[in-house]
Amino acid sequence: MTLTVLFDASCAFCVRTAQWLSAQRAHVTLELLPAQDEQAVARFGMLPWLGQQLVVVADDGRVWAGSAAFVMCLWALVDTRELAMQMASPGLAPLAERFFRFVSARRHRLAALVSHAPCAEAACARPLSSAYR
Amino acid sequence: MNPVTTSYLVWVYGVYAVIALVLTIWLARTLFQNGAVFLADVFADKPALAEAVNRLLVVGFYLFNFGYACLLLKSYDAPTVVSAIELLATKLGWLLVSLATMHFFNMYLFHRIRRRALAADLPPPVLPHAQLEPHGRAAHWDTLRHASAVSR
Repeated sequence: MTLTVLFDASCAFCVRTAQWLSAQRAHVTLELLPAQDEQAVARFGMLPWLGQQLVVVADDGRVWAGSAAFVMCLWALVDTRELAMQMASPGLAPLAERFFRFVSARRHRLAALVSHAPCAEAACARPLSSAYR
Repeated sequence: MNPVTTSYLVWVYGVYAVIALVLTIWLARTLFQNGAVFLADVFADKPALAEAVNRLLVVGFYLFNFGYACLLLKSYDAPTVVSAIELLATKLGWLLVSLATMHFFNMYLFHRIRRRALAADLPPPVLPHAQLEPHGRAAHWDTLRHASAVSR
């Protein structure tokens, strides 16, 4: 199974998180694509969430957006799969959703915490334009 | 009373050493035999790895328990038979409690290893919001999820 993770390349926090994601041990193949990337727009431009929210697309065509996509990213990793299963449980799902919305809404402000320089497009997008395992 | 001849300390040490040795070996063998069942399930495709993990766990178990048993050995005095029995019981009590703790910790490790291996086969925990057609551009929407569950 391959999951394509479409993240917001205009936010340094998202780019850093995507880089972190690509460095983790995963149960599935992860392809990280900036949502603004030409290839991403060509393949997934019909998805209304593209660029607005985190989007995850499986190779069989299933699409997750927002907090569900966030849970899918955790599910993909060896170290966080159990956490993802718990986050999707009825008790924790509303909390996980609120957490994701909180972070997502402030992603550009969070960028200031992880990056010293403003996210120049070339510097951010370049290392993630290809597929990562 | 002659202080040289009335100490039962050597007897306490002797009995303690024998019981500690037998107990630790018995527990380690139990752990080895039953742990093998768990690990064979987890590493079904790599039996040699299962065996290696099992052996290493047992080696750690031996090291910890013999080390702890040695540290527990030293006592100062056992002038009467009653005090010698009490001393022996206290030592064995501490030893048993520590063995039990180690044993449950090992069981927890087996449980963790197994649960982690099982997690590899778990399906996605959240429903998809949409389904893309495999060989076309058209997307058809799961209207229920689309309308209600997607965060804006």
